[in-house]
Amino acid sequence: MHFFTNMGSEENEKSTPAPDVGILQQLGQLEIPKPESNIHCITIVGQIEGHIILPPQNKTTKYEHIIPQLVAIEQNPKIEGLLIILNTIGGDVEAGLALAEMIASMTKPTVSLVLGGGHSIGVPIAVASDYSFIAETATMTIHPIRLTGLVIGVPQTFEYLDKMQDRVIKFVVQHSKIEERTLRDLMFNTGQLARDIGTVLVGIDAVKYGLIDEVGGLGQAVKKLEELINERKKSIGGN
Amino acid sequence: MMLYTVFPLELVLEGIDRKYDLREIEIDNVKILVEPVDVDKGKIISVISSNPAVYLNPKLYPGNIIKFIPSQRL
Repeated sequence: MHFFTNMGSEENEKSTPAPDVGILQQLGQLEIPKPESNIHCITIVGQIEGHIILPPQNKTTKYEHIIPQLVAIEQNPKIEGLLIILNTIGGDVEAGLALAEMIASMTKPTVSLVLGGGHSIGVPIAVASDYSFIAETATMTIHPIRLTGLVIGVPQTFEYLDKMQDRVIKFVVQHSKIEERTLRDLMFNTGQLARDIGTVLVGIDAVKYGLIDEVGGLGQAVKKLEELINERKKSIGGN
Repeated sequence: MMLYTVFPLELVLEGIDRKYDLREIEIDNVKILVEPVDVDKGKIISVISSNPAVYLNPKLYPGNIIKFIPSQRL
């Protein structure tokens, strides 16, 4: 059994007395029966990394990893649906919006599931899919974009920030059932966050405001995705 | 760069001058992130794939030590 071979290097070496050459090639061979999955899954966790590599203590999701995967999923005929699992604390605006736009423009069925947290720029990614789920205990924090680094106090700075903010708001409003006014109200709410203005939505609240479609977990998400896949098959077959 | 995150910036950017020592290598079309522990050995940190079946491969479990072999393309 290989279940615990990852527990330590010594154990691992004992159990696999490998030849000197060719071990890397061997590693790539799957020992388990390979069930062809028609659903692929992308996890978006930690910080969404943008144009700057973040320090190693951050868990990051890099767009250079996700974007090619999305392209491959869209293009591969064997893959029929995509499940996106989110547990993110936000990150780069441009990278987050890029991922959200890519997911939204896919023709294959996509279902997203927010587990733990889908904060800040995680919100547009969560709503970008065809159908979105949130775990009962998961939270989503909606707050305004802050300007970091050197801030020049001129009206243009505010304008720029406002434009960035609008990009996010517009995307979320377009891809979910939330009203723009409600979203802005939630975003500029005071009295919820200690260090910031904004709102924390827990599970059902996100559904109530129309941000997320349904409260649920992995089971429901996969079931919904299969439903969407079957619908798509029928509509393609019917034409 | 504009960060839109709930984390305080000082936490996110702490130690930005520290060097990364992780390598991305590809085994049989699966991209994995490896931390070199020796000249010829590396510890798997994470697997980067959208195919859920790949994660069931016991040899690619994070924490496994793999051996590097010299590349053909030297």
